[in-house]
Amino acid sequence: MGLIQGIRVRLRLLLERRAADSRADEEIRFHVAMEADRLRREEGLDAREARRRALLAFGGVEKTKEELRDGRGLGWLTGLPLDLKVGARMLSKYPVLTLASALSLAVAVAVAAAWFEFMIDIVRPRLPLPEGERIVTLRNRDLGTATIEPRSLHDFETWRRELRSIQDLAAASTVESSLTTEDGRVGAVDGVRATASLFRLGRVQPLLGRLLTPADLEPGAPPVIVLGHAAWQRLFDGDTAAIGETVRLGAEAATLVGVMPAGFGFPVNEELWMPLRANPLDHERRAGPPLVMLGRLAPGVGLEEARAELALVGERTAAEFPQTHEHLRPEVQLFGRGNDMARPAALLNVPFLLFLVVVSANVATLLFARTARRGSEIAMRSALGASRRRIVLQLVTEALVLTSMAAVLGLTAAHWGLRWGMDLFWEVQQTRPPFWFDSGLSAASVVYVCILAGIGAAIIGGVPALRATRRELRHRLPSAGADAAGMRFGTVATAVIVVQVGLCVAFLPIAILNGRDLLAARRGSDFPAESFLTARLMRPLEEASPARDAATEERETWSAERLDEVRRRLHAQPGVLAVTRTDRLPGLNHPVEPVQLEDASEEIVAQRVLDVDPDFFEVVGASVATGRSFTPADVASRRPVAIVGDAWARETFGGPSAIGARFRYPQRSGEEGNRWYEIVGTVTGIERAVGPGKEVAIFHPLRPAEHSSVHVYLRVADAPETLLPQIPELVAAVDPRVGVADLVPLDDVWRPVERSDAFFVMALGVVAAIILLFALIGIYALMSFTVTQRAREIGIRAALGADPRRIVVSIFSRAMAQIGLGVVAGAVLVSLTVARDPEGLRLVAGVAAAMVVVGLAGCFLPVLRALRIHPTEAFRAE
Amino acid sequence: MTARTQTDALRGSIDLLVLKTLSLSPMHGWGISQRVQQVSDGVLEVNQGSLYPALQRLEKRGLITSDWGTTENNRRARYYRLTAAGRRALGEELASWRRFAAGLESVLDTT
Repeated sequence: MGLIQGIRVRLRLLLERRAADSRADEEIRFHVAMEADRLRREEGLDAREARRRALLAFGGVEKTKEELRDGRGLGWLTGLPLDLKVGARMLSKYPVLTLASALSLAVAVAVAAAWFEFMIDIVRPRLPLPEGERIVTLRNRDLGTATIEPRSLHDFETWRRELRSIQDLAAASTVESSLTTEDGRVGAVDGVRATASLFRLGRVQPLLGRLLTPADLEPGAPPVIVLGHAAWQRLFDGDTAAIGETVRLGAEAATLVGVMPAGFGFPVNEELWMPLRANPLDHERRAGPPLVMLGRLAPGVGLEEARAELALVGERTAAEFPQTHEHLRPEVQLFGRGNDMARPAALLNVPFLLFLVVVSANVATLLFARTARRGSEIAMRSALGASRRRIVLQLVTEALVLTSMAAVLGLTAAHWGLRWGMDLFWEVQQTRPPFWFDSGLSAASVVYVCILAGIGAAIIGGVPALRATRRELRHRLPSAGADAAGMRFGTVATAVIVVQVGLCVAFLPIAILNGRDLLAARRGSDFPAESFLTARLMRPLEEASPARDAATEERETWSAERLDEVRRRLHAQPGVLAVTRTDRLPGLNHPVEPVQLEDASEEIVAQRVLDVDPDFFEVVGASVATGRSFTPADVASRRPVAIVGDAWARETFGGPSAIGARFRYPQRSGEEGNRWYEIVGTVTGIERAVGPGKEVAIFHPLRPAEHSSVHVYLRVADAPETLLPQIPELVAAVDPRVGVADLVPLDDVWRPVERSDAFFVMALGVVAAIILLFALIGIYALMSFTVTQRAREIGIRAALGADPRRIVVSIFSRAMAQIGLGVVAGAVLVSLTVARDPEGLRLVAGVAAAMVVVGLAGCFLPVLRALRIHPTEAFRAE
Repeated sequence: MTARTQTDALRGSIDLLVLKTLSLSPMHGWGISQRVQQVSDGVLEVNQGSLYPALQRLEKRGLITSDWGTTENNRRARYYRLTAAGRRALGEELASWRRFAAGLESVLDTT
């Protein structure tokens, strides 16, 4: 039979269920009528008798119909509505069990769905631009250092000229600046210098005015800018008359020629577009401004074709300019793809999936007792001819009702949680989300959750159903009354108890300790964050600078001097008590860096690092415990020195001996990676002054020339808000080219971070509470179930004169063995992490004790009941 | 041979019987059951109901196909007909059945 025909026939049978049913009816009716006719004709029977005999000869009309339905492969569908109804009824019959199961499943579904959605947004962004899925990014990768080479001005020109498979090639270079309007309003705007083709690529029309044009990029053309919608609202109150106004960007004057519609931030989250006037002739190869390059696949061209063409061009360039391009390989990718986060983000789905599996297994054990009570029903249906598949399907369908409920709850929670969590995430990152970012749930996530519900149902309904329908159990019909006793909890259930107890013992102390650390970081703070103002000062905008040379260095020194001057002026301002600077705002999005000690162990630890002015410790109220503080000479001489936090010094070097110890940053590139830093002092009382989260352990002297922007801390006498508006003016008075951004009270910076920490602690607490609660319920249910199973046996033994104490001991010892095994497994697991912390060990002991108590309580009542069984009752059942 | 063993023996070969019967002419379900009974002189009396799952099975495998038609006494009936694939399958099954029967025969003769 041809494949097509086979599929056609099957499809017809599947889809035309109703038609097939009525066809079977009609055929059978016809058959019986013909047979009855024959019997009347040949044997002279009357009509009624003939029909009776015909039906007899046919042999079970309903059975045949059932067989035909099964043969069509859709037999299970007929029972589906009933199964669903039974499932719903079972759930409402045990409301507490249902609620506990549904809630815990919902939590598991919610976290899995939220992560999945987040991963999709990061790994496979969808650009809300016309044919956004055909937009690609191009870049050079240096195979020698395995890094991206962003300085590709020459290549950009070559590619723009030669590539046929990619159109509208555009380049953009990041710029951040302060913008001053004609009526003196100042605000920070981030954006790009870009080629005019960027807007052709975006295919979005401006809300007001015009886009950048190729003429704007010509040397000597009047400087113009296009603003994003939000910046226009913020700085011009959405005034349409703003078009044509002259604004100042740092020192540059420019005309505002256009405003983009809301939600447009191409390529990432831009608010400002200026012409990119970079001429390759001004720069060496592999020099010039760092560029982001984008283009659109030409009509009918696939990504692979574009790759092939670009590779050819790349090879030619490499052959032509081996000095600079020997190790460079150009690559092209769909916009937003090829993210380094993609793989780890996708892998992180696995633990969430495992969490769901564990929760489902838990629910399965809880429901197992219920399934076991239905043993007689199952045996009866088996005897009446229901196939094993049919019964398993029924129980899975029933479980599906439960998991669907959990899926709806979980999706709702994920929807709201994600929206709230992502807002907080971007706030903590102090950046705007990419313009394509959408924190709503996508269709893919909904499908994913449906699959999760299916997996959950398969575990919850399938595993107990397979056990309950094992062949030997089907012969239980005669003693159906004793069905619960007939089903034994096997190794699976024992394993579930052990794993459950183990997970609790391992996970809970870690969760509690983590939460405690975070909370402790917030408690007991006497650092007056409310009397500090902070701002980011950006060095004067430079035209995209070429490779480092003497001139660059001179410019940097000069701009660093400007920043120093700003600092002096700020300090002279009335109401300002002190000014100090850092290279970043500590506590915010502050990464840890691998640090290698010079001692014999060569241990590598991860620590937070901060560059600070020499007077930083004094200004924030910290004090040098041993050794010395930084001096201006440290800054000027570029000596590799460091001051470390007292806590880390004690932990790692045993206190004062830290002075003189050396370490380095093995992962920094080039010479920086080999430089050894000498510890010249330790500092105490710094914890709170450097923000929430893991404390900063290592400090270096700040050299402003090495950073594109620095952060100032201003300690003020009065409420910081009063000083806020004066600062931009003050800075502009020193040099209007110095940009000011993120001007806020320090308290406002840290509050969202603290909120996200609090959220993390809360989430940890909820998960921990659910695990614990569920483990306790599960253990109680399992223990009381196993003991109930043996109630008759206990009663008989008691009746025969066995010592009740011995019976009790025998039962409890088995329960203790299971729980004990779990405690040991969990303790081994947890000892790898909190072994050194005595409090951690106490927590482990506490959790283990709770498990034992609950396990014993689960045994206690049923044992008591069993011992009270009257001997006659016990025997009567036999 | 009891009726029960007869039926069991038949169940395996019912597909073959249906194919063989339909190789003569298209026929409806009742017709097939009558034909089998007549030709076998009542030895192969099948539970008539079991014919229909077999017909469905064969149709699913594409060995037969069916259409509505009208009988001589003007009743609507489903007529089954052998397909080309069915004809090939009949040839193969017949051959293998004959081989099997001959093998069985020779064993019975010699022991």
